[in-house]
Amino acid sequence: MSIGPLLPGRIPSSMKLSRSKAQLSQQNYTLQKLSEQLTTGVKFQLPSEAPADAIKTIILQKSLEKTTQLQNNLQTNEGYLAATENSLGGLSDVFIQAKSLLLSGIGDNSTSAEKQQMSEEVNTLIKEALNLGNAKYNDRYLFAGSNNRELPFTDSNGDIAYNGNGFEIESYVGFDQLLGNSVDATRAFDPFAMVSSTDLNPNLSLNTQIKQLLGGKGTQLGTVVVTVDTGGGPQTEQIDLSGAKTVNDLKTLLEAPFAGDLTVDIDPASNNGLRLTPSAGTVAVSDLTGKTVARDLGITSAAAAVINGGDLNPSVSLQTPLSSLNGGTFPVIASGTGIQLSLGEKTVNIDLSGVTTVEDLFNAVKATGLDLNVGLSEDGSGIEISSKLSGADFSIGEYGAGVATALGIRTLTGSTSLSDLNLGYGAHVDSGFSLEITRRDGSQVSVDLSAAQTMQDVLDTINAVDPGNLVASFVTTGNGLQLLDNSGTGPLTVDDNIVSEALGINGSETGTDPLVPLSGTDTNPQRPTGLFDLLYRLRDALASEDDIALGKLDGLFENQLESLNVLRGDVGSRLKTIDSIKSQLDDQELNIQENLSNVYDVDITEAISNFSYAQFILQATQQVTASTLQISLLSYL
Amino acid sequence: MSLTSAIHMAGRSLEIFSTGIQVAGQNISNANTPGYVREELILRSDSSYVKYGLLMDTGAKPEGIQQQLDFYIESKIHQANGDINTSNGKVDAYNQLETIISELGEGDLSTGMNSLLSSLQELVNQPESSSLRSLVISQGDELAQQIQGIRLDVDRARSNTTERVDSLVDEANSLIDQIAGFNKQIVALEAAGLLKSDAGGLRSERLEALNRLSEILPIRAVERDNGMIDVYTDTNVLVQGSTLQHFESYTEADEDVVVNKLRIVESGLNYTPASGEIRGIVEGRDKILGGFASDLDDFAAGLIHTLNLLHSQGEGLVGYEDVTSTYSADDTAAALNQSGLPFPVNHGQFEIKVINKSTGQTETSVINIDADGLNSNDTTLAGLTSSLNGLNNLTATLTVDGKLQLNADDGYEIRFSNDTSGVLSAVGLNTFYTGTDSTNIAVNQQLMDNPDLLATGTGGGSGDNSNIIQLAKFLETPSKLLGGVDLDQYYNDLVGNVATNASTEKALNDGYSSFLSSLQSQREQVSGVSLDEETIKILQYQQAYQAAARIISTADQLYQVLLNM
Repeated sequence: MSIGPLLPGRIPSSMKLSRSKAQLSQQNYTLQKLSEQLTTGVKFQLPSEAPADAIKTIILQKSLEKTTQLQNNLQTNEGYLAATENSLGGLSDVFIQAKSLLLSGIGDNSTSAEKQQMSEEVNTLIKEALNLGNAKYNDRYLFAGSNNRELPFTDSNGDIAYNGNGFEIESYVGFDQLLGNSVDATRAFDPFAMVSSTDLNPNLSLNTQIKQLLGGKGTQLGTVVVTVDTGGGPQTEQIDLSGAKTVNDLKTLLEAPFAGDLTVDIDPASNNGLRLTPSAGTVAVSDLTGKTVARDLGITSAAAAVINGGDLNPSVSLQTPLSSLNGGTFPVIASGTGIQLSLGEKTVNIDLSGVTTVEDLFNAVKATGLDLNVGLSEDGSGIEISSKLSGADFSIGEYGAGVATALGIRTLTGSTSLSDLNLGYGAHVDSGFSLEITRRDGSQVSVDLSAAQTMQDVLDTINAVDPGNLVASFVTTGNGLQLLDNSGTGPLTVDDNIVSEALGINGSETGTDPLVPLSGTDTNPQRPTGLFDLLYRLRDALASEDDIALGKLDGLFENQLESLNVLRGDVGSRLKTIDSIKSQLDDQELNIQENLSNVYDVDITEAISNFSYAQFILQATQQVTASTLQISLLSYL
Repeated sequence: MSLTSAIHMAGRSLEIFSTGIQVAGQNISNANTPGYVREELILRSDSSYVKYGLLMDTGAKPEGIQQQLDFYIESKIHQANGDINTSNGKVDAYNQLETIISELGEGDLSTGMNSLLSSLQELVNQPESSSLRSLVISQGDELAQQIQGIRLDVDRARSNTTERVDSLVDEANSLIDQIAGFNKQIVALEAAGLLKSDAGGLRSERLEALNRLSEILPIRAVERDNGMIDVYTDTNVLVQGSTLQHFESYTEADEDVVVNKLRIVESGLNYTPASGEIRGIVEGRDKILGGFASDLDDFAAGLIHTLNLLHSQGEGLVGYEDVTSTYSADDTAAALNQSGLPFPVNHGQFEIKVINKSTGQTETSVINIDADGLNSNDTTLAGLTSSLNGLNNLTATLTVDGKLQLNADDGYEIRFSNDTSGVLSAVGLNTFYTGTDSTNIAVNQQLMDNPDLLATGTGGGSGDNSNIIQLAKFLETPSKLLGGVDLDQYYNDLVGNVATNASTEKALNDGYSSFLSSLQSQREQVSGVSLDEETIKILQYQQAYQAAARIISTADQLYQVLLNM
């Protein structure tokens, strides 16, 4: 509010009055404003009083609120991580104690009775580890991953089931920075025995999603240049494919501008790429300069009668039909066939004949009720089935028709390395022992397997003895080797020795039917490699005074302890990060508050001096007004 | 003869000087009358005659009583009145708006947004906490209520202007009648007047009426020779001789509020004043408060859409057994983007899982949403319903009001994920908020009833915070609905614009006020009463009166001399 300038000329009484009123009103407003600033401590009440400062204030206030929240996040995270660190420390102690028992239990370091005693002590360690694994802080099971509604580790008929997962709970510690406040418990406990399939190489289909292409990496879509010349001159179109979500969308977008002159489909020759066929003449596809969209889709080509695109290598999805796996060569699953799952004492044959998709397969596995997890592999190339039980053997075998092999999940195959057999103790084919076979005609065969590296080598070596007559293969149900011999009708026997036992083929088939095989046992069950399984194995090895097993366990304990130490280091480093961010945030908060104070808070000293000055001016104005208004010529009449 | 004429001349002078004192007295008595225009007695020398060869003057003669008025300044004041009153209305609206937004206080909307953000971050920290899960929902609810509350306050402030506009219309009509009445009286009184401003009191009153009318509406006043003033607003006649036009208000809906607008009674034409108090109120109501309501609607729609897009990607701790979309399609057979759904759909797909609750067996289906506009086969709501109805253990139907209803078979539940099409948020399935704007934003009732439906994860269990991590970035997620700007930035701009525009308007208001004050000073300088001046005039007339009386007395003495001879 301002009072207009005083122009030269008449100064009527009414003008003197109105100007005096305006002056007094202005002075009072100023004084009141300063008084409000002093009582509230802030420079302005409404943003419009100082828009630039107000906007700064609003942004700073928001930053302050966010900073405060980040500080809360850090405090919460610190609590969880400190508790985790504490439990991991306890686990480390368990490892050290287990290691000490292990070393004491090897060879002559202890007596048999002491070994039994130590075996009992391992049971105590298992309980201690179980308590640590189920540690809870602030209503959270620290090692449950994201499954917090049940105990992470539970007893399952003498084995230990892990009900959690490897999920790491992350939280915001910066405006755009995440930090885990829980750890991936599988790193500390390694509680799964995971079986991963081979690359299942599914066929491309119109339903395949763009994100599934190129091994699940997807491709960045953009504009491609397509030229179709059906004989009447070339028609060139720049086609933006960026809106496509599926292969069918690619087909729609590519075909759209050419009104029937171009057909796009899945190349039936490869089943893994696109095919572009003009109604007549030629088609050419290229990229815009500097772009690689067409190249990545494998359809770049000079003018050609047909373009057969490259392999787009789609990843497996839940909806992928089993029939499209392995380049479409997946066998038709006959009724009564499927896979066999063996976990601990339980063995379940799953009939997969009604199963269509990968998800159906998973559901069939879930339906067994076994302690198993199923899922797609991280790289999308196949599937994974894992056992959650520590202390129990897990294997996937055939149930009739080679489905497990086709799915790449059979746990004993030709490519299985002999050194991996028997929980990593291996099959010592180079120990000087041979496979001693008494054939059905009574003849003796000694098969030297010393050069064999894999199960396939074993099969090949045996099959070379009397090709077609003495036939070694894998059993058709479950896992293990089998021998068929048509040399006679007598018993077929494989002598017990270190090699035959390790290969699980020792024993005798006493029937007279040469078509009945001598079936072996599964020698490659899978076990978790974590603390609980190792403790079970330690307990059993001490109880059975198995020095070889104890010797093998030493290295395994070492590996696990190293993993645990890495995890502890990780937690320690996170705590350090939190400390450092905390200190940064404190500085930041101070800085924000300082800035906020600069723009929003009243400078009390300045405000008080302004107030005194305004008071003085008001008094002066009042005095001058009173004096001026009193003066009148009438007083002198 | 000369003595007699001297006495006559002096006698007339006595009348003139007493009239002068009367005029000064009139001025003094109106010294504090608002709008009063000071008057002045105008004198001139009377005619002369020849006597004894001498040209003799006959004294003074009153020409008339004249108002001291500069009509040019008056018309400038009328314009300035229009400007300042327009601005006053706008400043008033901004003041109300700033008070409603209350952005620098504790309970402002940005604090509400940050509270929701904080609760989300706390849930990110501790996804397994059911109390924090409920806190997110209650903070979401609080934010929705805050937005609705602000909108309600804005709507109330807009509605409250109705009575004000009506009373101004009544006042303007009354002023028009008054001016016409004064016109008649002034013409009648001044018919034999000398200076065409003799009816000073009535003229002052008419001037005051014009002045007030110019505060309400933009006017142009033109004085005719007969003393009558014609008044126009824009191109419309208000007063022209005996022709008068009046205003009336009528109502219509604007931004969910019933507002009143003006039309001319006699012609029936709609009328929007270009300036003045009504203009200021209407601009404040429609452009400032109404504009803010519209921006707040956009903000609310952005908030709803952003949170729903993020929320619909995830899964809660439980699935839905039965769920009905919160939005309706007007035409279920039309492509989704033409079906009347409130939010856009992109070409893409989403996943729906039908889960057997006892075995955990899951059937995941990818539902493609065609929205590319090609091949005339874009997905319709009816088509989507049919696709969903084809899934095992799930029944999908369309309700009579165009909503999609999903019912899982007994023992089954439904979950949604990976929606690249935005169809779930467009139809309102698995969403956080319902509603479309600031009047109806609310937390989805299903979440209120069962916080376990809050989509914190992607199916990983109670500690899975993978989706809430994304939700916690809702303020920084660019929204297509907001032109690619994120909610934080949009709100900053919204509040910043109000502050800047309010400040600009206040600065303009200061300017207008200063200009008007300057014009009023000029008017006062011309037309205001100065007591000193009037005192001087009284002294002047008093002395002149005494002198004239002395002439009479001298002439009388001379007559006495003659008579006593």
